[in-house]
Amino acid sequence: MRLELIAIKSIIRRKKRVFFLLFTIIMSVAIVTTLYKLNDSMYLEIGDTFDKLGPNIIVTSAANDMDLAYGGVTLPSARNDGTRLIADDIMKIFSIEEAESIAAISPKLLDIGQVDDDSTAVLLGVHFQFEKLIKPWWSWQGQLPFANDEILLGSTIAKQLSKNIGDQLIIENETFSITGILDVTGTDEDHVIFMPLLTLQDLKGHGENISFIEVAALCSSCPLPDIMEQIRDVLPHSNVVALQEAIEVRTNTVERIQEFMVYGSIIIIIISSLVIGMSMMNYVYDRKVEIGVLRAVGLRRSHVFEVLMTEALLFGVIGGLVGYSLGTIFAKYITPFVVSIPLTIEFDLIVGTITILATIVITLLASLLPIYRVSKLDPVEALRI
Amino acid sequence: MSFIQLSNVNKTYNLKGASVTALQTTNLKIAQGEFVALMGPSGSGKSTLLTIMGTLNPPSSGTLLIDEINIYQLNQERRADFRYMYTGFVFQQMHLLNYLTAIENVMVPLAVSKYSRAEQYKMAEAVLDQVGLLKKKNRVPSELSGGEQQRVAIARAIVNKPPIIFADEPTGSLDTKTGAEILDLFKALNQSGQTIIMVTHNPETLAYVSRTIVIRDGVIESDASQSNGDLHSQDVLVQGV
Repeated sequence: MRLELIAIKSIIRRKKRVFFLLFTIIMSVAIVTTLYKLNDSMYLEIGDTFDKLGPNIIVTSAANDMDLAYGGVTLPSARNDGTRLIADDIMKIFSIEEAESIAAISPKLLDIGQVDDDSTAVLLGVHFQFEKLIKPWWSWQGQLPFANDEILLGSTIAKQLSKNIGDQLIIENETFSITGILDVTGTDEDHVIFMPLLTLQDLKGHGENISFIEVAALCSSCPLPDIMEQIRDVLPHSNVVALQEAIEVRTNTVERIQEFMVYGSIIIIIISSLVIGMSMMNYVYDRKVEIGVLRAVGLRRSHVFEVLMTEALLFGVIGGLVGYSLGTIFAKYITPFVVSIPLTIEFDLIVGTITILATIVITLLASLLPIYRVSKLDPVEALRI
Repeated sequence: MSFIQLSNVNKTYNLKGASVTALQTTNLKIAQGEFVALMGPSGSGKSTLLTIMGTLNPPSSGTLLIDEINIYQLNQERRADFRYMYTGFVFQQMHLLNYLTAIENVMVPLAVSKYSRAEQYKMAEAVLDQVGLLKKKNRVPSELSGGEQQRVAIARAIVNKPPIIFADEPTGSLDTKTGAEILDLFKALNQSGQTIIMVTHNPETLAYVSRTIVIRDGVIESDASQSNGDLHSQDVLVQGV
């Protein structure tokens, strides 16, 4: 008989007693693990969701002459010059190392055109299928242009020109059909005439040139400056800037959510630790008579301490291991139904090891005082003779 | 020099601000090999006297010498070592560990010994055989009768071959027949040289013991030894009566 064996047999053979204590530890660890996994994954998912809501990087050509402003960005005019951006440059952006972080790209050509013979309007040439991706909040009446002679009007300019869906508009002496009108966005887009990129390039004689490229990059897995640097490497003739407003909104919102979840997790960890502590205390104090017997038959306080701390260690190991596994399974398979956000949750060796070690430490610390106090009793007090 | 000697031993408990003297100042000597019964009504102080002698309960004053060692001058850890080497304790409620088998319960005192597991097992088997329970060595306490559990408790108390066995009403929870069997066991142990000090209410114990000490209200009222079938009074030094 060895002291460790007393501890092991105590756990194996006192199933009912041990079950409730282990259950408490396991559930506490599982809850904390689930919250941590949720927090971690939601931070990434919410971040990515934010990143997909519109561009956060603007790529312009590195030209000296800046003629136009759009969406808060000053743009060079797209003259036929070798240093300008061309539509095929988007393929270079897709070739960067962090290409997987690129959620959407939309090349654009901005110019001014004569409209209906007596006024001018801002013309924006886009690939409408890319534009839909990068601006998922867009809504419109009618439908998006498909043919080369079809256009989409911003809400304000449609009113200014007194045009409706189905009407025709003459731009630079060419006739276009209005297939749709954008709903109010509250931005420069309300004042813009949207047309296919190739059409505007031909209409204004820009060849392959474009004015800028909007990029929606996912920042959670790769910091924005890194992505911007990589774009600069493949497009050395370009200016790559971050849309500060987009960054700030993302940062404030996502980090606030994460802060909230971290505080929540800390509170849960504290409560769980207290629950484990109380459970261990009860477990030890219930063993008072048994401890008295061990002392009466000749075991020292240190021997009794060793037996009980061995049990606490085993509880910590089993509770941590099973609790972490259960928490991960719960986070992976159950919570997606609850929060309706697609989450990526996996078993993580490092996090699992830390969880088990933390559980062991908490269980041992929680046991320390009650074990010390009970083992200090004279045997006759413990045995209540 | 007596094997066990109490000098001016007194025990007072403080309960909710009030002091209760469980044992008045007492002097007592017990020779090696005696079979002593401590008798008296409930609350007389006999269990207190037993636990003080059993090194489990420090007195409020006085000294206890066992084999010329001043027990309560030792710290708790050294007292535990002393208990391992010198004493075995048998409780009225047996106090077996219900998650260990009979033989594992008997081996518990040996958990801190130098013996290998195999040696411990042999020693445990030997004492279980001695108390007639070898065939039930792998049963847990819930599978044993009261008498059998008490036999296992006795086996646990003697596995490390202590010179002194303290027993606190070992037959208190048992029927007459089983109680008699337990007393037979104690008698056999005494005859093989062990000093036995037993608290008992059972008058049938008198037929087994060599000395009877009666305690009332914390004071030794009488102390008579039995030799050649006759009772002789011991010199009883009682102070503060």
